[in-house]
Amino acid sequence: MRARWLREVDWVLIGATVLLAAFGVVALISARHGFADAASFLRARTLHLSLGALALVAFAAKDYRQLAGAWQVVYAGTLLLLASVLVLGDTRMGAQRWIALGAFGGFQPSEVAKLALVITLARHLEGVKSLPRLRALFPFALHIAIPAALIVRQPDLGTALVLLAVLAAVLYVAGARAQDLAGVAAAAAVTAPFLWRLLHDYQRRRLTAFLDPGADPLGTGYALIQSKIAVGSGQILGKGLFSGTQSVLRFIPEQHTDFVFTVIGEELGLAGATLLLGLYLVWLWRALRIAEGARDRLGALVATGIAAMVAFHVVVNVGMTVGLMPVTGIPLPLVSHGGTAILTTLAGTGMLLSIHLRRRPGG
Amino acid sequence: MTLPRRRRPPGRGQPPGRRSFLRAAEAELDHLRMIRLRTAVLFAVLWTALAGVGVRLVMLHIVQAPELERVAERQQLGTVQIEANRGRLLDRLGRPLAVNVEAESAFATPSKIADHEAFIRAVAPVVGQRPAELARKLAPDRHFAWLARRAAPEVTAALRAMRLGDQIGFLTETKRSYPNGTLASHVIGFAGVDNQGLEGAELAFEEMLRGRPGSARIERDAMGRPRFDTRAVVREPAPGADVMLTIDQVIQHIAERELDRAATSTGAASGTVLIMDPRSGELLAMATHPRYDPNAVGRAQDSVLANRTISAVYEPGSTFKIILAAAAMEAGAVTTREVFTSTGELRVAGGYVIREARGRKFPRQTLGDIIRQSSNVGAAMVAGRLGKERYHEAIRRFGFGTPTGVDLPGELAGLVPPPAQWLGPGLETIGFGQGISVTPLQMLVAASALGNEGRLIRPHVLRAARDPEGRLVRVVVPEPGRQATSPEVARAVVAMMEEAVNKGTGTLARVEGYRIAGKTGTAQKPAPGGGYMPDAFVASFVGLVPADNPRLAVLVILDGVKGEQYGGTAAAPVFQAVATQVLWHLRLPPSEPAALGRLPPRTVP
Repeated sequence: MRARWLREVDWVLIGATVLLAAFGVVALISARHGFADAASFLRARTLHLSLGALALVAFAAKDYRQLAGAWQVVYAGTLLLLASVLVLGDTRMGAQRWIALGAFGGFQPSEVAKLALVITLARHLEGVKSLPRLRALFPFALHIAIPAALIVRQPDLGTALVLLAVLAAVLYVAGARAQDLAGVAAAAAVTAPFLWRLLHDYQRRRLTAFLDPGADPLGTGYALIQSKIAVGSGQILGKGLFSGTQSVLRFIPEQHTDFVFTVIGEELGLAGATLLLGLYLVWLWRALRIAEGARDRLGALVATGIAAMVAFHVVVNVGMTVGLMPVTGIPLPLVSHGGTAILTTLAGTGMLLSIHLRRRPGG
Repeated sequence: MTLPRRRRPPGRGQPPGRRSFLRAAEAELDHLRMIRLRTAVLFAVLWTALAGVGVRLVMLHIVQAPELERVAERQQLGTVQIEANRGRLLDRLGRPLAVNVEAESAFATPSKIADHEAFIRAVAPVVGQRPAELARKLAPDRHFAWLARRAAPEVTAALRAMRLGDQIGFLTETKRSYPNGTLASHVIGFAGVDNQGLEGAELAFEEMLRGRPGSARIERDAMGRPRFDTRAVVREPAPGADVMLTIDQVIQHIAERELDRAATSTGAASGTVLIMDPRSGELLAMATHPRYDPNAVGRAQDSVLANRTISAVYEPGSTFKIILAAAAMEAGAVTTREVFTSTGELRVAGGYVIREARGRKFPRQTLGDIIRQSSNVGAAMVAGRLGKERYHEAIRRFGFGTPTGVDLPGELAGLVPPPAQWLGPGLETIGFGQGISVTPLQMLVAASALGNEGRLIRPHVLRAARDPEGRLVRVVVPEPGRQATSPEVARAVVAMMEEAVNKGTGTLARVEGYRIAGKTGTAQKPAPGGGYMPDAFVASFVGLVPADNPRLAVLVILDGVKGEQYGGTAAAPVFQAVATQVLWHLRLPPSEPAALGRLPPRTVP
């Protein structure tokens, strides 16, 4: 039995996960190198990874089909949690995203919500065998739109966008017609100018800064310009660990979190950045393979949702760092500092492993 | 994410009339195919997105990298200058006149402090700061904070003993110091706060003293604050050379002491004692009164800062008669045997009357007697015989009206009016040194020419310069000088000057055992509104010793003496006191060996 478990488990996915986590630890050490609080950051990361590993094993061992048995209850709980952040949450850096948790520091319900919503959405869709027209998509769009709206209120536009990406990917794999999805996207594009007016000032500034970072090089454009400088000055092989001058001299704000990719780009160069992106590609390739080989529709949709979530994070985060996308507060999975995000990603990895272990014969 | 157009999953056509379980199986198969296809599409979309990011990375890392690297360096690196150690100023025997004192400053690098509380607990009492204040300065996000500037050695030693590694650093800063206080202040001058020469030799030899500053690269953080702990020396500074002056500290001290004493006793407002080697032009002493302390220039009055020996002028008075005598003999206007009669006054062109001082009368006097007795009427008659053009020419030949070229800053040329402007009794008064402005150094240099076979040499205070390894980088070789008058005339004038000391107005300048040549002068001081001050005089004496082969040329000026004070009574004794001690200090042998027994008892200087 044990031997079979060992044979069946997706070692490639586990390997990619471990390497990504290791990358994250190295990047964290380097980003906080020279700061007096480096040790406390490392302690926190150790705790996050340990808890995450536990979650990974637990979710891998548990049959995913038993997850969210009554998805409506989980869904309601998630909405309640997200709503409670708006009431109870800590305000950090201008956004109400955290719930204080004593010694653990705090926890970000929106991160957990992402994973929970992947499951509830998959559950919701499981019984729906076909999505023959646009109208059929409406309940699922609503399924995501309500929590997304709550998250936007925090405000956390990035996470809300993640949910929309997950929705699109899961609906697509669930069989939605491409033209329907395209129609929704087009409608979103048309309403975008109206949404613009709903954005917070800082969000608008970020978008304009993305379009023209030079317009405000010391304000909103600062992080963008500095991160490009950091990444580019790393050249092919990088400046070596702990020698990234942009990081050591603190030109980059909050480098251990959303801009952690700059550490890798500067200190490990193109080689390190490519290696990291390669690891993500392997991870996502396995996740989609698991979706494809899932025993049932639920497994396929959950795996797709998790893959879409991680993929969106990677592309948007790295894209932001290299100046391809506007600045959004989206972490780099397993590498950026942030307990809830790491925990969630590892739990999601556990689910993937669970789906893989219970895959369709020959799948 | 962009979404591709939906395509029907590939599959065989659906023949009609299937049984329901087969159709279910078919649907299941379709569903699996669709999932396979659509996950593949998602993967392709992902690939495309990551490839886009990859292309962007290549662009940044390779194509734009050089430019981005430059931008990064520009904002992170600064160049700071490392000051070179300033060379010292030494006297002619290597005794220090201006030195550097080192003072160490300690700083902390707060971002590297591991345990702030422990650090502050340990360091606060040592640097004498309140812990709260120190904690504020040592905010963890900072890279630099002074702990103690120019601290006492025991403070830096205590900080070193804590072995705090790179949490703490030291910088050595230097400060110019003048160990002898006011001694030779006008020669030495002073340097400013950034160790840059501002006056005197400090300014004159700035280039040699300064050395070449080094440079270091220093990292700056995002706030632009330099991080001293990252300092990397790019070029070591080259220390400046030690500059050795011709000044003899002991002679300088003798001159200053006697000058100060005389200024007090005569009530002179200011004064000068210049001592030079007439053959080489080396200035052995440039004593001034009053002086200032270059260690505390800020407390000195501006009027005291100027070196009056070169940047102030006076009317030389009777000492100038030696120039007249030389000019007259050189021109053949008078002979040494010619007799002049002074009835006490002389009526000259324009109805002016020249009078002897103190109502004296000299019925029969030669040129030598005119010098010895300092006869104004006699000088006026000689000047009248010589004429404006020839006299003016001679005055210029002796260097008046032109800076001497001494290697100190701020020298004046003096004022020698052209003959066309010698109005009224101008020719006659200039004959006894009134109506012409000279610097003390010009007067000394001109008198020295008479003691140097008529050759006018350039005075100087720089003797040599040597680099920190002790190699001489500059040695001043005396220039031969140009002939101001013939050697015969020069010797004849010196002989007249010797008579003036032996039997004339300068007897108080006599030094036992030595042959002294000299000339007294008591000049009126020009009043600000024109004319002369009624009750203030410049008493002066210029002397050469030994008269037969002068080794020292000395000029004493007491400016602003009151009442019955003359060159012969006020200035000549100063010469005597200075010459006696300097001759002894230099071990110059007496001219008359018989006088040996009368030398002062030997004392250790």
